[in-house]
Amino acid sequence: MDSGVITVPRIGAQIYWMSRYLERGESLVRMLSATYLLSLDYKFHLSIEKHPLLYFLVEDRIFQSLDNKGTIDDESIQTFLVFHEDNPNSLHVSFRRMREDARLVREVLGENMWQTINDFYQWLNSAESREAYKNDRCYFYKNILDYCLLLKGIFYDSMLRDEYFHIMELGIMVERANQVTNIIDKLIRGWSKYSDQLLQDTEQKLNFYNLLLECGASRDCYFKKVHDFEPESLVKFFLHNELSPYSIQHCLKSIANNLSVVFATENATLSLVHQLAESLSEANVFSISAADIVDRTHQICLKLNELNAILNLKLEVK
Amino acid sequence: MRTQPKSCEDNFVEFKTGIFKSYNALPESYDEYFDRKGKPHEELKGIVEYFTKFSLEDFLSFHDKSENFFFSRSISFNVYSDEKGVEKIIPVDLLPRVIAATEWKVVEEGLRQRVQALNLFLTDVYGRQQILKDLPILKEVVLGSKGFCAQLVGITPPHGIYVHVAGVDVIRDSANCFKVLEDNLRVPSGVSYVLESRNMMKNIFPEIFAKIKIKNVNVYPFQLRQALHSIAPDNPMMVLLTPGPYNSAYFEHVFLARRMDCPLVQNSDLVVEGNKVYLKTMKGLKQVHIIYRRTNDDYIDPTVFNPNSLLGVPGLVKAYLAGNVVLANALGNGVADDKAIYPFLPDIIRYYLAEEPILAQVVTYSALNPKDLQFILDNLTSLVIKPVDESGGKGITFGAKAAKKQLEEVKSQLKANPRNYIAQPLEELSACPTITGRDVCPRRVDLRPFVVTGKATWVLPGGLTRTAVDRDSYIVNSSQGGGTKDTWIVEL
Repeated sequence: MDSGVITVPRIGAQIYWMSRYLERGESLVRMLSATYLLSLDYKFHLSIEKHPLLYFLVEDRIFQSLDNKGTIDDESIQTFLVFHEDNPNSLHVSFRRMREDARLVREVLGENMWQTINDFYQWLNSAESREAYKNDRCYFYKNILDYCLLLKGIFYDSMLRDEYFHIMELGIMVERANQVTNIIDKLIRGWSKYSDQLLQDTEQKLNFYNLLLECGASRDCYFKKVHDFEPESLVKFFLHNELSPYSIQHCLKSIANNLSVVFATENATLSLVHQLAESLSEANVFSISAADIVDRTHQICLKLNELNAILNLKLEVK
Repeated sequence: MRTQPKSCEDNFVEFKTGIFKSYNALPESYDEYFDRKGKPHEELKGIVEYFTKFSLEDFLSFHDKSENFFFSRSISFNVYSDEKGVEKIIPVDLLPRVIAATEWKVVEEGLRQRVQALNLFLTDVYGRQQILKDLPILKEVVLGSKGFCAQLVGITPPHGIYVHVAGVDVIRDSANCFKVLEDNLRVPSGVSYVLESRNMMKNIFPEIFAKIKIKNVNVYPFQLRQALHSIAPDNPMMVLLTPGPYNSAYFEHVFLARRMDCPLVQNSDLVVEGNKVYLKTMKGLKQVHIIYRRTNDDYIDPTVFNPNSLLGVPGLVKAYLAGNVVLANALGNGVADDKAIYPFLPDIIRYYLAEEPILAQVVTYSALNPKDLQFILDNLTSLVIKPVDESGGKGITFGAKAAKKQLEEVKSQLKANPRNYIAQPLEELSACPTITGRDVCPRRVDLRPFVVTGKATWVLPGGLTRTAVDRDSYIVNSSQGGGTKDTWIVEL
């Protein structure tokens, strides 16, 4: 159906990346917040294999450069992930890019949306925010998360259901799928490195799982259906769960729906997404054996990377 | 903190109270608020009374609110030369500039007349050039103008309208006479700040809007859209062409695109095929009929004008010449807002309309005229010398303040290139009470009203009042540090 709205590719691309940066920032702040709370109970080992933030979020070469400076500790890791301009995925860089993309397309965002993005950005760069980071870390992370959720609320509640809406949702879902896949891929491959240090008892396992589930906003959802603390269960949960908006299958279904609206005549990419989504049906996921799970998860990652590359090309900012 | 108003025999609030307690008007200038005896002008009585209820501390807190208003919406302008920040929030003073509706009516009529004459002038200059034959002195000025585009001779835009949006800078002199200072007929900017300042003032001072009848400005985008649609085919596709997010007026482009409900596009979004302009959309090419362009002539088409331009649309001028797209404002308007043409505007009005100009303009000497040049050279220290090809207050020499060496340089430049200069006596711009830190002081102001022309002409009530940066300054441009005020046209 023709919405009557004129959609310009350049603007579409900017909106796509704006929403990806929003989702990226939200995902990071969940991880930071959950890890910070966990770190109050447990002393994490400062190595890339054993520190949750380093393991899931920092590339080896970057860790090496931090480690070589001899400044690495819990606090510096957090600072690196929150503020560092050299870290392309830091909170500040992600939200700065989000705001810049929004500024370039503000005429198609609702006024509420633009104003809230701007208010958020002003706060993030304010002395008040720095003070909160220093003296009230929980509030700092919570406020950022609240802004992210508010922006999504405004988006879902007030944006016109035109192609730009679908592109924005596409960006959110693509980024979410990427973030979740990254977590479960690393989790399943590196599990043994964690289990000997952190997870000696049930309480520790529970706390660690909570951390990962917080990252996927899925704690309540998980414990409704699953009652164990095995990595395979967690991975399967994130691959397929009909209740959770953070499951990869949910993301893929949404991606397919949005692609069919935005690129109505393009079939090859849509087929790829449908295939992937089908491979993550309940039957398929729960039939994966323990021996195969590492491999299967990795295959899914590779397929998602392929999808990423296709979409990045289609929605390249020119 | 409220202070009780003191009543006088004339039943008005004695002004030396509240925030105006220590206000001293500039002795040489017309004061926008108070007469020589310190009594508020008629149109300001209720307004002054209202503002005297607040203390300066109240205004400091209002100032914070206004800043938050602008920060939160990122109502900004970009200063290219400023390294600290690309976006700057537009400074708006909380004391409005007020003009009586009866006074405004004369300005409005004068502006309509002026823009009508300018459109006729442009039609003639790019057509039969009859005026150049009847007033030969204009020939060198017109044909030698950087804004004159020889390629456009013989082409008439739809309905003969060249100037769809004019921003005419107007001052009030010490004798309370409105005069035109300058015409801006290419890509005049500032109207978005007019509308947003009004919204901000409504936010902070809602009570005054209930008490005083102030003419509305919010209809501007609607009027502009209607005007442009009226001169295009039925159901035209209109776009607003912006040079991009780093342009000084990018906020305004966004603002107007949203309010006029037309796509905001950059040059890369457009393509010309078969002498027609198309917008690239996700569903294919869509023909464009009207381009409200905020890109200067020089940069708009690298195949015709500046070949180094990265902001233009190749082939756009061909599409325009073929009559397949309306450009607003039209190409080639620079010849009419060239400062060298300005001294001749009263004659131009008389020539085309057989009427006396309703609005006066500042006495201007053209260095191209040998008599004028001699006068300028003999009276440098009492004149303001302006290069014709600069804007934003740049390159201006105030003879009374200039050092001897600077005056000598100006003299040589005048002799070497007389076409490039005009001179005017220093006009005492009117001054308006302005909140400066913890005080209220007079600041010189000018006004930029906006005139929209389609099949009919409409004038925005009021416009952008710009304030000088300090007590001694006569330069009001924002790029030079000046501020702005909301402008109220008040019905009594």
